[in-house]
Amino acid sequence: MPVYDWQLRPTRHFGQVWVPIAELELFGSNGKPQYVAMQIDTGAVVSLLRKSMADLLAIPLESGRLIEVIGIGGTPTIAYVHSVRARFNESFTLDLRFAIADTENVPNLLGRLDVFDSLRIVFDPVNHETQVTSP
Amino acid sequence: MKDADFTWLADHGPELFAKYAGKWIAVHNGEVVGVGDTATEVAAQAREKVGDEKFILEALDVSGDVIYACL
Repeated sequence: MPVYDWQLRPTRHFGQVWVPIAELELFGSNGKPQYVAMQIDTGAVVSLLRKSMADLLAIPLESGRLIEVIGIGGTPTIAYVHSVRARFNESFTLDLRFAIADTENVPNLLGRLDVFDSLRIVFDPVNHETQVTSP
Repeated sequence: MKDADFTWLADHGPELFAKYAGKWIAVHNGEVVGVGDTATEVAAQAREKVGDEKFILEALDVSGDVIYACL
């Protein structure tokens, strides 16, 4: 069962806060895997990646479906939807839809689509860790 | 089941942010083996140092107190 330790991150107004992070092994068009740590965001409909991850995974960015993603501030960002094979600690492999932004100015996020409807994800605030199991 | 480098990242979050906030980093065997502005740049640095061995990328966002939802 994959278990991911949370990470303490500094904030401007609230000191250090615990953030749930997951490690994913992403497989690109070239079949090469790349391990990436990204924040788990239950508020995000779809997972989000920065532009340079498309380059690294040899994914032709603009071949995906064009969408706009909107943060809480309301500013839209252009992104393209791609299905990317992802593995969680050699335990679960899923094809996840990612919105890959055309910029580096977004966070990498693991959102709900294809993830929270496929896996049981338990946030443990006592041990500051996230457990991922099959439903 | 925990990955050693991922655990190292979690254990060293505050100091990594203090040093590399806003950057991508690559970590291998408890060591930062790449720092830069894009995943490609950092992965290239890491490959020069560790070859085909595993390394983890993380973008150290500076927007720690921004609520962000991808709708």
